Amino acid sequence: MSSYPAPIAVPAAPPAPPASALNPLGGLLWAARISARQFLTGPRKWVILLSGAAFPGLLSIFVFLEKGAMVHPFLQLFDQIYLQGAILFIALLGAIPAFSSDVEDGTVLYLFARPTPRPLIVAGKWLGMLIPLMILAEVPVLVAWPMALAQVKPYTVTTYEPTPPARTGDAARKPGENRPPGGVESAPPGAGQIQKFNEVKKEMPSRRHTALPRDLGTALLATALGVLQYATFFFSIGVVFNRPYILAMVYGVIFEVFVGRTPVNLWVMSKFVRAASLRLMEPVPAFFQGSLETAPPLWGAWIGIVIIPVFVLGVAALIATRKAYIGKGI
Amino acid sequence: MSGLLLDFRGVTRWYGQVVALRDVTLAVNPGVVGLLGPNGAGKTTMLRLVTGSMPPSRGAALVFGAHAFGDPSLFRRVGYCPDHDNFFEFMTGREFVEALLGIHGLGASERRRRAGAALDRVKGAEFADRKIYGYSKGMRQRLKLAQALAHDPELLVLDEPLNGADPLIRRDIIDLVKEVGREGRSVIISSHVLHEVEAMTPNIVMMHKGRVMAAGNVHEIRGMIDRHPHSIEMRTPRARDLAALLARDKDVSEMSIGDGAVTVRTPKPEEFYGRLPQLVLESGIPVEELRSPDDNLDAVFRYLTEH
Repeated sequence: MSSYPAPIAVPAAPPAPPASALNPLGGLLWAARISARQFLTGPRKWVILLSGAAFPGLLSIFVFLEKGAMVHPFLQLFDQIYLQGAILFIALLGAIPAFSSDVEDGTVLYLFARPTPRPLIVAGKWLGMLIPLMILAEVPVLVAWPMALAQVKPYTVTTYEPTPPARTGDAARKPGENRPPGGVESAPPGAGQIQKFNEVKKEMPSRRHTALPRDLGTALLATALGVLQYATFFFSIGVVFNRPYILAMVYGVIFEVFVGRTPVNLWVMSKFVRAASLRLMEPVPAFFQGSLETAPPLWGAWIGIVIIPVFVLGVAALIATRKAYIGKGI
Repeated sequence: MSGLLLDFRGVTRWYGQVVALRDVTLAVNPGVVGLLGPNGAGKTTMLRLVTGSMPPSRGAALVFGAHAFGDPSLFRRVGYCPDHDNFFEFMTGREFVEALLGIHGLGASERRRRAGAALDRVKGAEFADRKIYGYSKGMRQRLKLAQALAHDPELLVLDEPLNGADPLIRRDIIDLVKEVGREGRSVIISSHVLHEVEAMTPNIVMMHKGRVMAAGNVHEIRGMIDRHPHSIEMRTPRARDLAALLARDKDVSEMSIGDGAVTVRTPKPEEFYGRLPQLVLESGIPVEELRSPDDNLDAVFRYLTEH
């Protein structure tokens, strides 16, 4: 049997919905809105904040152990601990499930059965994930900043200043100069004389002035760009390898292990994050000093920060247009 | 434009090594159509092809004359009710329907109006402002229908909407489908519960193991099953006499005599029905009741799927 032979007599079909029912940009924004609400009402935000808490947590350890730091501890920890470590996990946890969990539970079918092209739905999901993820990733930075400031206190510097050469008959000796027993008058001039130093303690003011608002701004910008870059990559992994959430996580970890520790990552990702942040925020904050010499130029940094991730997202969105999203249990 | 609702041309769809649909060619006119088959028959795959959730692996799946996959504008005319009960649980039912209308690009007042109307129609207004995570199975069924109806589609695609529903909701869904059909809209409804589909429409497409085994009116389908004898039961006080008479009929392949009844099986029921009044009149044997015990969807379905 290959056809349905009997036409079914039905009344005339109703008119099609009004022309206003095709608004792709509106579709994108609604997909973003749904995605953002999913993010902010689900457990992911707590997992992410917990991951980010590593940074202020380490700073709090500094507080207890060092009881006040000479150098701003934020400057010591941000680059190595947060920007190159915690943000990877934050992006991984936040971005992969943003799309793949919808595929897993089948809710993506509600979104795709709408008059909005799939790439725009995917872009909306990405946008809705990215913005709250960026905001959440900034929280540990903002928490860590005053914690770090609180540790920077006035301190004492001890210096040793050489004594001036001893002179016979010098009646105008200054206080604190060493005087040999029995008086220098008995010693022959210039013979057997030892250079002496005086210990001088100086009270120094707090170096909080080194923690400029510009430094915080750079850190916030670097965080946002790092999230943009990593989260876009991981989100794209979730779009392409969209089966179960756990499997998507495994893909993410494999990506991080095999790509993240290679020169590709160092140059394409971390370096570009730093470069874009630094070039935009010159003069270079103390915690990034030394990085700029090896960082790409600004145009190259933007390629790494924006163009490459957006290209990857575009490829993922195109794959999504041809991909079967069949949900759970099929 | 062909004017067809569905036009499947040699459609095959496989998932890895599993073939879900096999070379399906099918033309369906507008109206209410039941898609019937046991679990694994390929019903959901077929509906997902209809709704453009996936492309066919081979062949062409056209809805309203256009390829369903890759044509998002089609979804102004199609409402889809999937078979699962997952939603964006953090939303209220009303927010859920309005959000999906937002993806249609509708303005705020239009979203509110349509969402309210759809929820009223499925009798969901009373729970519409509660969070979905607290919904019962029945509420979820109603919400699924509301989101599919809200944008006023010409075609409603319902994947197992009666599955797990209590009798009250079943009745409401059946009434709703009939009402939507009377409005001139088309409905494709899948189910493996045959009598429920029969209550909604006589027009069916029967599927088994990824193939369309029959399509049309249930009676027409029954007539197409030549190799399966059709049962006809006749109640009479003279069962033996009637049996002796019918034993000579060339179209009777089997016969049994019960308590005041003779049941014959014939591969050519139309011809047999045509001759029967004359035979009865000539013999003078009274026949009090005539019925076909297997002229219902269950029997037809059983016939079609037993091989």
